[in-house]
Amino acid sequence: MTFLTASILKNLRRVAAQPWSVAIWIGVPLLVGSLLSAVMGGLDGDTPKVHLLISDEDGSFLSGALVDMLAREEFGDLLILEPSATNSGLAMLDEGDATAMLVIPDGFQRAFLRSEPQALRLVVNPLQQILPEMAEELTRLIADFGSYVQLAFGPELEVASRLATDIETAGESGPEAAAAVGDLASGVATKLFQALPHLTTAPVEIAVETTEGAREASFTLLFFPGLLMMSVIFAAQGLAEDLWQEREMGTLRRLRSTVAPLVTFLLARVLASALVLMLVILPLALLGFATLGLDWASLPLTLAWLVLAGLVLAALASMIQVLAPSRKAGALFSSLVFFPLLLVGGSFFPLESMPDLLAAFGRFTPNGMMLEPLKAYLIGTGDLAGFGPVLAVALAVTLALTAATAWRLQAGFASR
Amino acid sequence: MIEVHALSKHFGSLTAVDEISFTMQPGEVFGLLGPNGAGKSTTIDCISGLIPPSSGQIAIAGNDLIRAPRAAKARLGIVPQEMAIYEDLPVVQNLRYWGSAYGLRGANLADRVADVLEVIGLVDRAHDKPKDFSGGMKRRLNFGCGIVHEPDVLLLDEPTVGVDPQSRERLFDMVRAQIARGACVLYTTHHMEEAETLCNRIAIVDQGRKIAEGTLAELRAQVGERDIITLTGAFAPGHTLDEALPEGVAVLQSEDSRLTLEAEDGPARLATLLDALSQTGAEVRETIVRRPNLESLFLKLTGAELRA
Ligand SMILES: Nc1ncnc2c1ncn2[C@@H]1O[C@H](COP(=O)(O)OP(=O)(O)O)[C@@H](O)[C@H]1O
Ligand SMILES: [Mg+2]
Repeated sequence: MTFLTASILKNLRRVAAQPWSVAIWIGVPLLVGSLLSAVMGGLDGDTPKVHLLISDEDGSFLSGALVDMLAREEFGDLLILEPSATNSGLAMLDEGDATAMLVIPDGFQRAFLRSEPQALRLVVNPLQQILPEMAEELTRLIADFGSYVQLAFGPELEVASRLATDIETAGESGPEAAAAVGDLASGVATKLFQALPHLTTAPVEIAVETTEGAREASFTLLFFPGLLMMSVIFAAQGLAEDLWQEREMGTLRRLRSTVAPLVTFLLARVLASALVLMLVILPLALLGFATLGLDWASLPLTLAWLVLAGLVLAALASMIQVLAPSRKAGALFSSLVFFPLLLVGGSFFPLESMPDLLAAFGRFTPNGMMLEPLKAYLIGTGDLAGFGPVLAVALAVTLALTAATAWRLQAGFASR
Repeated sequence: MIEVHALSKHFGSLTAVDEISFTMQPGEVFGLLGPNGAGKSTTIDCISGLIPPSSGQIAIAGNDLIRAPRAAKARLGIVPQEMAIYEDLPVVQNLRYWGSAYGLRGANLADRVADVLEVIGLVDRAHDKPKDFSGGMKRRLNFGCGIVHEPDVLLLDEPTVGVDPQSRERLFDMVRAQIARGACVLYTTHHMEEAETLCNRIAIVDQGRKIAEGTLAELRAQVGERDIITLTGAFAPGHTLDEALPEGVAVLQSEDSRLTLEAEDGPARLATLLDALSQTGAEVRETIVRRPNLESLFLKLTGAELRA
């Protein structure tokens, strides 16, 4: 075992000996994340609901009956169906207030009755990842149902609809009679609907679209990388405070009297910190990726990037510690630097939600600088190239800070 | 084995170490005896390369500490005054870490760690964390961490502070074992008895200066055959006392409430002395008679108590 290995093991064991610190590094961001999700309504503990809007652009008897039937149907807690106009429905989707919208296009009844291909349009909110899939399933079900009804009851439906139109144009008793016929039709339809799983499917086209706001992230997704960064900041700060502990225990002093180079001591700290950071971020990242339905292929880069961010911040925190005149001062300086960074650098409030000036400042904080390319990458507005310039800066800054820390250790911190 | 020549260390206007010189040979324990603040730890810090001397030279096994620090430090082991161990790491891991810091590895490191565990008597506790240990056990581990690499020169800075008598004996044995394998030990203490029991040669230091050096016998000879009598109470001024004192008794130091005297065959003269004092109107509350020892030498040289 070389001194480097022994040193890495020593650092890891010492972190393991204080599991509460690690629990806090993970727990606080987790808590904040849960609270935020609860406030945003994303993860309030209930089962997720599919909120399906139905826009009837056809305005025909058949489409009306379909909407009527669906709206009245009892689907349990999982599904809310709500008739809506197309425009207001799209607005709701953009706000994230609905999962998807089924649009019954103009000419639906005509096409249906003439056995022409019909197109139902399903507009989904891409940021509600799991739920739109359920909505799609549901729409397929409806389409299947339609196909079957058309095959089995085509002529009857045509008669019924003609009757309904006649009655509607005939006078006062019209609406009542139309409603009666509608009820009859939907009663039949409901029974069929229950039998649906056993029916064979016939082709009905469903066009799935995404909303205009597809490229705009949901609030929860905007918060997620920031929360990971919060965890990284806590860990970086905590890992650096250990330098004062080593000094007060006298182990740093003792080390200076041995032949082991301080550079090796620092390198071991960096490597051990990388491992600890990875272990701290991993559970949070896994949870977030699963909850938000993010692409698992982005996980490795996310982890690697956050570890690097942690090393940059740990280098900064270490520098602060070795410059401080006492352990208390070190903790204080560290908080004085990192708390504002946490607030301004997008870890509490996404930069998107901050005033422009503050956000501009936040983008230049070390954590903000590291956060932005990752966020863009996760949301899908940025690519790998976005990491490049920041990577270069991060490596340079870490190297410079570590060199300064080493110099400070040599120049007195480790000797007192 | 180690040569310290005219070593000085200033902290601002304070001279912590003032032109101290000494040499140490293999197989000897050299004692630095002096009160708190005498400059013992500062001397050790300079020798172990922790702080740069203001002036003077230090060579360890022929290697100059400034010009060949690595070679010099490789032969050195230190046991700091403050405990310098990882209390949240098991004993063996502490030993492995410090052994590796001196470049040991592999089977060699494992063998040495096993040896040291025996020496410090912590084989049973090898996998326990020192944080729940007694002061004496922690001191033993602190000692063990300094000898994993079998140093030629071992620096021990007040290793018995906060140690129970049993652990202290054990520590002495551990020091003697180092001597037996040919190392030399620099042992600092403010306990006269420790220096007397353990050290082959002793330097007495005060306020950064070396005020006496020699074997125990040589130093005793310096005190002479005179006993030291310390009286506490209320006394007349020194010049009136001088006349009143019986023959063979001399004033070393006189304060309002304390009088230090030097006397040939002190116990025999005590009755006459107290008689004479009471005639000057003095009131004696406490009397201490000491046979000649390092403490009385220190008292004689500096006029102050070693443990003041
Ligand atoms: N780093 C330092 N800065 C200023 N003064 C110091 C420093 N280290 C020690 N001193 C002073 O030097 C003197 C000698 O201290 P030290 O070597 O610790 O004595 P000892 O170990 O004999 O008790 C003391 O007066 C102490 O206050
Ligand atoms: Mg000391």
